[in-house]
Amino acid sequence: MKGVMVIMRRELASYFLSPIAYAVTAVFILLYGLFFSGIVLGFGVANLEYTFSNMVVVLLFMAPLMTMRTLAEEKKTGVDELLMTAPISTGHFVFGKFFAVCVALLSMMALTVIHFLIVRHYAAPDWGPIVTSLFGLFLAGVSFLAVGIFTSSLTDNQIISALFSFGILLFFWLVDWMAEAVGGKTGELLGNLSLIKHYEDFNKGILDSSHIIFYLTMTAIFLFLTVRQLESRRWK
Amino acid sequence: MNIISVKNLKKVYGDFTAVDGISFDIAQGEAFGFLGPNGAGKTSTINMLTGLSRPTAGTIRIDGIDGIKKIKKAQSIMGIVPDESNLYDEMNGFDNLTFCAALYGMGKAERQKRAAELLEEFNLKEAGDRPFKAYSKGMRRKLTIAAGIIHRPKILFLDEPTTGIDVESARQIRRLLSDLKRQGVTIFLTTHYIEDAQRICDRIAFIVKGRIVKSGTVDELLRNAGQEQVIRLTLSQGIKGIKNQFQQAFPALRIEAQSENDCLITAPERIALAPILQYLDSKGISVFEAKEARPTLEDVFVKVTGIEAGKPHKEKAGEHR
Repeated sequence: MKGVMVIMRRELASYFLSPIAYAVTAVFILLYGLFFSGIVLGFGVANLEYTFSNMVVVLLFMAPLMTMRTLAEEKKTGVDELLMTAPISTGHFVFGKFFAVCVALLSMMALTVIHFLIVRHYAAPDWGPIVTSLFGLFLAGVSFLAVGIFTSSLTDNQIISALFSFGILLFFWLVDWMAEAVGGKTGELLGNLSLIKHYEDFNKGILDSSHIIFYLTMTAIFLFLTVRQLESRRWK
Repeated sequence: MNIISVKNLKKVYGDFTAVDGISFDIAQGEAFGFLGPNGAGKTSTINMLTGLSRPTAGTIRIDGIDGIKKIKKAQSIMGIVPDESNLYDEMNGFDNLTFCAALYGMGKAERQKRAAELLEEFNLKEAGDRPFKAYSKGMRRKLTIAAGIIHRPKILFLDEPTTGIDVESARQIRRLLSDLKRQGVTIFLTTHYIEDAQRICDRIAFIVKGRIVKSGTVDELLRNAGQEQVIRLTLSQGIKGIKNQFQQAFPALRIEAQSENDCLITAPERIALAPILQYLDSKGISVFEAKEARPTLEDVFVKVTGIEAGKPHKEKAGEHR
């Protein structure tokens, strides 16, 4: 566990030293503010769920940018050798990276607290859907980050990493449309892989364990693939 | 006691065999040099020993630990200095060192103290707060070595430690390695600089095309280089005009004209100088100096590898990541 903390601390320091962190946060907050003012202030409803459902799409674009350098940059500069020859396991190494970007995501989401205060000041919102939407947003974001870390382990080029990551996430986002087009059992199966479908219930204030398990499973699978991908370098 | 024991180690990349079943042992506190041309299998071997790549076949034992199955445990007693500096460009020297120390589980106070000590020892104290990307090549190399020894490893692996750096930095690195050797650190060094191997190593193995073709202590290798005696004469004038007569007068010797006024005399046994000096005097040639020419490690290298040291060689696939 000590190794995870060492990697996480360094990764966080490096992330917040890079301009990407501030650019991503600025765009996230700006778009959040736009959706908030357009929906809450524009329609005069004390309801943040629509804002959150739009923010999941924003995260789909942001997560690849947050993760693209995590492993690709180290492969490019040769620093990966330092970490592969250190007495910490590949799993701890990957978890350290992953937890760091999760903390970065949390810090970004924490900035939205001001919008809750505004809503609370002027109205009496139903906190249930807001809390579950926020939780769902974080869970979805975490699974997006796991995909991003995996694609970052595949290449030493940050742009390619971000493109691969965006491609995979977009596939899981649009798979719902394909499911409808295909229909039948295959359609049902494809529909179960949809990132949109699993987020909808969170937005309605429903905390369904199957959706939580879906996002956690997706996260675990992509982190596992990242570990295997890094381990496989030793065989080459 | 052997701290490293390697048996029948093999690494195959596709249809190219980089390391072809090599075996060797290294005793604790020994400095072992791996010498060979580019593409000979040096980096592939060091990569397998340090856990960067898995062997195709063979066994590795590091301080009694299985170096393949329990590589992470074995890595805790290793220090590794790769051929290219591998620290974080955006971090300063001090932070790079403390980060490396943290990877090996050192506590905060201890790693900060040790990092400050090493920066001082490597003459990098003033550069400690500068980002690594602002370091010169020699400074980068020194900091990489400092990072490799920050946790006081029992074994230090160095891949081409003095390649591509200035003379002063190279000398300083050689001095540091000699100090580490005196402190009992086992050193495994790969290089194609014979001078490095001769100065630092107790034992040397020559590797060519993935196979160890010769190994031994520096003295053993030099003794086996040739039993011939070689004498270099510096003369008042060249021997080109009288070379054939000179050779006929001493048929048991091999006489070669070297530079303008030098000649090299080689014989299978000890050479009696007096008749040679008398003969040359009779031809009006004075002998200013007669010096025994001892074989160098470079001669041994050329003899066993058939390759002129220092000549460029073609890189082979799989040698470098």
